[in-house]
Amino acid sequence: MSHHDPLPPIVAPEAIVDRDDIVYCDVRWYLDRRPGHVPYGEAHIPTAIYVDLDEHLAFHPMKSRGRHPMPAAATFAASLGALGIGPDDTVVAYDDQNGMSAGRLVWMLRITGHDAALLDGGIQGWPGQFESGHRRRRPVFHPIRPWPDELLVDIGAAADAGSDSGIVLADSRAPERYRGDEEPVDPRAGHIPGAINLPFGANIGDDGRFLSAEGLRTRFEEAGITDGSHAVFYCGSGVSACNNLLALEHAGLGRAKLFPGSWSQWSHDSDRPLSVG
Amino acid sequence: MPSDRFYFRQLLSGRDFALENPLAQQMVNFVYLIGDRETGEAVAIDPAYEVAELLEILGEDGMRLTGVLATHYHPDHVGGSMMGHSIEGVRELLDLQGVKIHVQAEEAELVKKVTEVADSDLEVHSSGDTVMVGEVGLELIHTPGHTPGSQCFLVEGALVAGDTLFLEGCGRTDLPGSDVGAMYHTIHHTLSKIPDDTVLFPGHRYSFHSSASMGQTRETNYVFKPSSEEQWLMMFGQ
Repeated sequence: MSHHDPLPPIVAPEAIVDRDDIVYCDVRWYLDRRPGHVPYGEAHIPTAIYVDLDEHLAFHPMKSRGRHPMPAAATFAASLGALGIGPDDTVVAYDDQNGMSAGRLVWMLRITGHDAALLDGGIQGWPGQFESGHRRRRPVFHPIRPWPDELLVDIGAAADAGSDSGIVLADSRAPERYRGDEEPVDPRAGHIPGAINLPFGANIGDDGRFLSAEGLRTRFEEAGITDGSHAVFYCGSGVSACNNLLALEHAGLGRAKLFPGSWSQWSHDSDRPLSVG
Repeated sequence: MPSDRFYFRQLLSGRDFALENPLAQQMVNFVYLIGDRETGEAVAIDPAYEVAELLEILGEDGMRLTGVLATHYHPDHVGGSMMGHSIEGVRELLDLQGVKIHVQAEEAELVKKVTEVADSDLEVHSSGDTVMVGEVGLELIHTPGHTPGSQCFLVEGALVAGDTLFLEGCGRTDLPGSDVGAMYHTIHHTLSKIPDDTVLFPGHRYSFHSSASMGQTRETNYVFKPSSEEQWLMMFGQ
């Protein structure tokens, strides 16, 4: 058990670089199917293990549930155990795309009671040395922690959120995909009716680091989110939305809900309406 | 039961234990350790390859072995001789720790034959029996098809299925003792009663993922596609 205070959702490397009790997880993943374990093998933060978004953080793509369905709670527990991550370990995760994929691991860990944070600045911002090769940790027992139902919504609840004036439904994808100008992966272009656009990339400043907690707070409040419990986030497949969910918590606005099926589920259901522009 | 009390480990042969054993790496068997962390009691499902190592893992977790459950009699699950190799299993485990092996009645003679354990080592069950491990109850479900006395275990929302059902496909039905018609009944009747949110834990890692909910499995596994026994036999019959 760590004697340190629990980490905030997003942590600067300077704050942890001297700690030796952290399990670093490299979660590099690419939409164009380039395998993330290759750059991991070439150079990663010393002692980091590789966590595969597709294998450990999602089930197979399914039209009915989206490109990265949430794994069963027992499956996630078994994966963490096999990776050598115990319930009392402190995890810091990173990628090389502003926390796009690593955020999913951090969010899954935090909502199941783990001490976990996203590394601000990603691997590019790491001040220390790197190492190469592949590491494994000794497998451990990890208890099954049920997903908190109040933080996950299905497609029906996402539709309802879009038409409920008391709830903000936020699309975390890039503006071009939100507007429907282009759609590189899913069958229809556009967004869920009633959703606003809060691209996750706008959480990051020009220095490659997250905005300050105050800056993030201003961003979400200007979008009408003053309390996470009245907000639902989605993206392409429930991955990059986690970046927003972590930023929201980091800003002191609490935890919002995720629609894991996201646009990859919605756009496959031709009976569902969509909005463009 | 509080989730932290339920002890459940899924160990992949050749990756999580028996790291130096080429057969264990090749066969990608899952061994399950299941128990009650409060009482410290645990059972091993299908222990094979390096059984002393499995006991060590239990010991490191503060658990002690109180029983063995066998999904079926094949040597990669209970030990014995296979493809010219000798695989450690329940007989060697019982030498280290004297516990009972829980089997379905239809599998008892087969387990004895391949492992050379004694009658007195076996606890013979019928479908619907429950084995208690501390306060954790494992329901035994007879699921013939791959072998005559194959069984699955239902415990705390998990279905430990041996070679009856994988995430993709099901156990072979072209082996001696297999029964393709019985497998149809098992998959489409017996296991149809398992809720969608129960999580399937298979006997081998034959898929990218190591477990999945029954709902996800029913949507993606082709063995659920046939809508009648006639269609099933066209797909799987000899």
